[in-house]
Amino acid sequence: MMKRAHNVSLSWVVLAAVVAGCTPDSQQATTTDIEVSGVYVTEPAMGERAAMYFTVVNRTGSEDELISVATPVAEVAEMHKTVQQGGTVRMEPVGSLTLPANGELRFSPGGYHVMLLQLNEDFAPGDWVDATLHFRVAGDIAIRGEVMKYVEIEKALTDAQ
Amino acid sequence: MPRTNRVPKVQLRSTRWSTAAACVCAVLLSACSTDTDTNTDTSGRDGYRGRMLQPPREKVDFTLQDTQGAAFDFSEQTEGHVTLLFFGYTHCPDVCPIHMANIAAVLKDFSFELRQQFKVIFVTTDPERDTPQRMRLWLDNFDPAFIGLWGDHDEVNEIAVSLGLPPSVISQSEDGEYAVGHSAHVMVFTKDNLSHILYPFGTRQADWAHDLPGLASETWGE
Repeated sequence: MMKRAHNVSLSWVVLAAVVAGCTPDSQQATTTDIEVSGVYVTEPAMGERAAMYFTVVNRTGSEDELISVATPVAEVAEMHKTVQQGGTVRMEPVGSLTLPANGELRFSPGGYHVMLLQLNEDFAPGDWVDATLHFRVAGDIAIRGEVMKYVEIEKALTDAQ
Repeated sequence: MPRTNRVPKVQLRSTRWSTAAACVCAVLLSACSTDTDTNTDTSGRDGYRGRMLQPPREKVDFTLQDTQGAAFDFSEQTEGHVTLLFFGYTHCPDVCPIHMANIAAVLKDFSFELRQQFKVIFVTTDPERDTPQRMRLWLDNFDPAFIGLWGDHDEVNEIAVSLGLPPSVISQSEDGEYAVGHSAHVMVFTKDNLSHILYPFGTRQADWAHDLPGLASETWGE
């Protein structure tokens, strides 16, 4: 059986936390209690589409809801869930996702991802992609993630399966 | 053309029996604690990181079109190789490209001699969008030696099912896009033309690097 790393690449978390920390939070006081880390984007396969991942941590005692995601690099950003069941894997669109109180919402390969479709611009490994997460209560949170090669993605695989 | 891929049932049975016997021996040997040779025929068996198939599954005879438009006879053209078989599609967001990228990264580090012993075969479950040309471009992102196979939906599903893998299912979404559900596993056939092992999504490069060299010389106790 496989061993799975329990620590998602620490440097990513730190890096993303720094980026999140740069976000002016004056207009969104509540967002300081919601932290988005581990943001990354896959290299666009065939230049057509890419997937974005991140982890949202809610340090407040009340739940929130991630309604949608937007990014200047793509016309369409849809939240999808990869469902693994009985040896099969399939993708399902999801409307919105609950961010539990004092909990987290993790996007990762084999789980949730934001599918970026109809790309507006080319991007490649090493580039940074901006996006905005729309929460029902917390409002908008700006994030930024590095584009990674598929071969690098496994570093961020979840231990849950 | 000669058909050597079909392993007679008798041989299958004897494989299992000899393995069972070897396991007993290994237990006895380790119980004696005088045996320092850990490189026995069966020690590797438990050391693999994929999911063992009991009983192992036989290859299935099929011919599909490769990315050059030529007929690819699976049994004949994989004979003598360790064959990694995966059913997926090029619009797949993460499972397919991550599997392919991880395998490619590990094979890249092998010596030429070892690398030549492997064939990686990607069968599309999305024949509508995955033309052979498109598959070629997509696979070239990982390894130009990877083989892409194309056939119609029913044909490919029949192959998957006869290998004991789930059939693919196409689900339409409202925007006209669609997703294809498919097997999450990479099925590995060793040189005995049997698959003893499956690798689920989540298999890491370290796992492939650990298992593949051993599978190239694996005889499963024969």
